[in-house]
Amino acid sequence: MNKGTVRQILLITDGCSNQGEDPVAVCQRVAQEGITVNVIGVLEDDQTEDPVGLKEVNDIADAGHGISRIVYADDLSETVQMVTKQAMNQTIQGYVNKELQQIFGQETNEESLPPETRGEVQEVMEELGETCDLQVLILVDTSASMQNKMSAVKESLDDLILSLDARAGSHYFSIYQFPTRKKVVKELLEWTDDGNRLSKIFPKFAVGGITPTGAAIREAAKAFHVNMGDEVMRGAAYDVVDSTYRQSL
Amino acid sequence: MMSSIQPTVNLYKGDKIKGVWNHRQYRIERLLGEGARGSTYLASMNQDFVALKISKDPAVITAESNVLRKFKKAQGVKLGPSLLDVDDSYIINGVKYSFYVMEYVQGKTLSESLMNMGLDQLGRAMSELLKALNHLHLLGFVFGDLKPENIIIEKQTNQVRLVDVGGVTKVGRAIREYTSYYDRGYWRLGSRKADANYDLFSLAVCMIQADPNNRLKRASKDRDLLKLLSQCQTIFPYHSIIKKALLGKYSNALSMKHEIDYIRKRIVDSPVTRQYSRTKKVEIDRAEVISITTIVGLHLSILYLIM
Repeated sequence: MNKGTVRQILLITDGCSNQGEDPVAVCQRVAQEGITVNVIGVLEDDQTEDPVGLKEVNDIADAGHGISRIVYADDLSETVQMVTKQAMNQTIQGYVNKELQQIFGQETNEESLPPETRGEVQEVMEELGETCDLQVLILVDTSASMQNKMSAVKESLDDLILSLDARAGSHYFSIYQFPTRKKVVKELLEWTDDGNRLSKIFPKFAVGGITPTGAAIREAAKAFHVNMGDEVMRGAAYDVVDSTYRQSL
Repeated sequence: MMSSIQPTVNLYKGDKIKGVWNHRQYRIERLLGEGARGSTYLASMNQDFVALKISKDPAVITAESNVLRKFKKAQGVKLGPSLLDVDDSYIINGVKYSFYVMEYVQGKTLSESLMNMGLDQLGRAMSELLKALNHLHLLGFVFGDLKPENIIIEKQTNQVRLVDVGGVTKVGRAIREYTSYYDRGYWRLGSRKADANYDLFSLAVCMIQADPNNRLKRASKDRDLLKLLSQCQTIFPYHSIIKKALLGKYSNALSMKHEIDYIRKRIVDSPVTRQYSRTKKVEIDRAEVISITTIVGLHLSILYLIM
């Protein structure tokens, strides 16, 4: 089986204000292009309930066929690597179930197989999860309220790279911030697999204003087609693990 | 949608779990433990007690039972609880969940007894663990999520047993599951790629946990585990071993085991190891100084006579 590429956008925000385009509609379109959208909502330390703005986090991830979590800044590291890994496994699971249906008929998925056979399918999926290529675009909300959470965000990205480095498959990541003064999103780091470059990013924070989440996701998704290096483009040519194959689980 | 699921399946005393494939029936007794990937219950089947792990995420059940199945083939040493059954069951409102059934390992977890252990006891437990880990490593696996909560001292046999195989990873692959404090990546002392040293690192953190003065939580602020170690004086005799393990200096689990056994032997031989070894060392030094001075003095006087 060919190695495939799993593509994800990871949105880190502390509240999604609904200015401009509807992020849910944007994510549905993005998901159709084979890009999963995961969302992590970061709480203030003294927040005990999920604030209204963060409720949207789940809807966005649902529409983007991804995973959502709402956490305190302290738990960010653990969450970022876990969400990325789980979403990747979910994409692979969707792909494998699709294959199973082609072999055994429409109603078949992994769970309708007897436990013994399921174990073998699981091994194939784990192998794919370990060896497939992964592209993660990290979209960071840099509105004023995020300022005191940036050190936690940076730490969590370091931790994510550590986990990605341990995989057998290759990975590329890119970092975008939003909003900025002139544009909806700004590229902070182009596609790279070099974790050392993370330390050189110093985002400028927007003061006040709106957080146009929908438009930001739309713009960021373009990076998968426009800004990719040659190597990655070749990867896309034999893309087999792609969330467009994914069934709604 | 799998997005925001909690893997926990809530079951209560008296609930019946009947497998749809193998048709065995289990009666739930009580909750044994709950984790990020599912819950383990004490259950009974006929007259026997078993441990039953159930999760809303079937992949967890399949992956872990795969590992236990592989361990079953390992002869001699018990590497995990033995696997008894893997099945699906319809729970309450007609939803189907996967579960597996394993041997119930009865006893105290290391997290309950670690702080009360004497130095010799600690060494014995670690030595036994290293023996099991060595077998695991020779099979091509790394335990991964090694922490006191996942280690049980079996009541009947007094043997150390590893439970919860969620982190077990093939050598060379990315560690599947870990806990921050026991993860060398978290402390910036290495990668998350599975190798024997990954387990030895976690084991060393377990040993630090045996010191009542350890401040693991506070140390996590500046991520300096070696500084923390120097403050843990209760486990002083094991310091050099722990340090070697933290820095990945062992070639395999057995070489760490041998060094622990050696220290243990010295502890057993003399109950006040520290003072004993120190005073002894000073005496040796003094004797050496005296003998060297005498020899030099003799030479000088001979030289003087010849001149």
